[in-house]
Amino acid sequence: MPMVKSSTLLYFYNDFVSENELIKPEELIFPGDYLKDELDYIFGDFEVEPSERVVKSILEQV
Amino acid sequence: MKPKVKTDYELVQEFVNGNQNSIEILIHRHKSKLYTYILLTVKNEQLAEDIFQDTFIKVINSLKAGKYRDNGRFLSWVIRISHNLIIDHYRREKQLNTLSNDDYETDIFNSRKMSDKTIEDTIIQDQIESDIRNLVEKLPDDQKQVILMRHYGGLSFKEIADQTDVSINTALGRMRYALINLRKLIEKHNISLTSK
Repeated sequence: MPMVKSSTLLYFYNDFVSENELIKPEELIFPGDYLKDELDYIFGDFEVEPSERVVKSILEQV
Repeated sequence: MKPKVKTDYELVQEFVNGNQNSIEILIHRHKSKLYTYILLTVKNEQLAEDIFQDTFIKVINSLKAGKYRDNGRFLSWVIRISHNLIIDHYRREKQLNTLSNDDYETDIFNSRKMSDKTIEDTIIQDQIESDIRNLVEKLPDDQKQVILMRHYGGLSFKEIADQTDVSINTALGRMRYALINLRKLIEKHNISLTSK
């Protein structure tokens, strides 16, 4: 395992803890809007449709 | 007065009680999000369609067997089923990193709705979609999983953690690192993700 300076680890830990304090606990358990804006900015309404053939094939098997 | 849109659970109940049309409505309601999640994960249209089909067949069988417990999160449940099928596939094939992407670019554009768009709009949209696909592909798999589950499946961090066998903090950390990486990539390549 590579050696990592304890000061480096402490830096990341403190950074992580301070960020976590911004999140409401329920956001972790239930779906919420945390970081939603950023995801919406990146993905927008980007969605791809499956072919009609595959949908039809599923419905035939119902 | 508009007719009330039925909830996923109402449709599930109707289907379980014998109304075949209800599952059709559910499939059409969620097909894009589910298919996009699968396609961005497996990067191969044929495989994505196979897994998409297997997912809904499993969903239908589970509904008939009374295995669905509603918590208002039908799509999340479906996404979790597809995630497990993707893992099963890779376990079987053992070709996690050897899939060819040759047919991906062509197929992704062919399968997208092109109607009612000007040529210019289409070109811009093509570019944006290509950029999104490239951005997602550049992420490490563990970060990509979290991002896609969160955005397309609406899973909570606890659900993502359970699904990927990590702690909630790890799932959260992966999400943050994914966003940091995406931001860096967008900046580095000067990518614009809006057509305005």
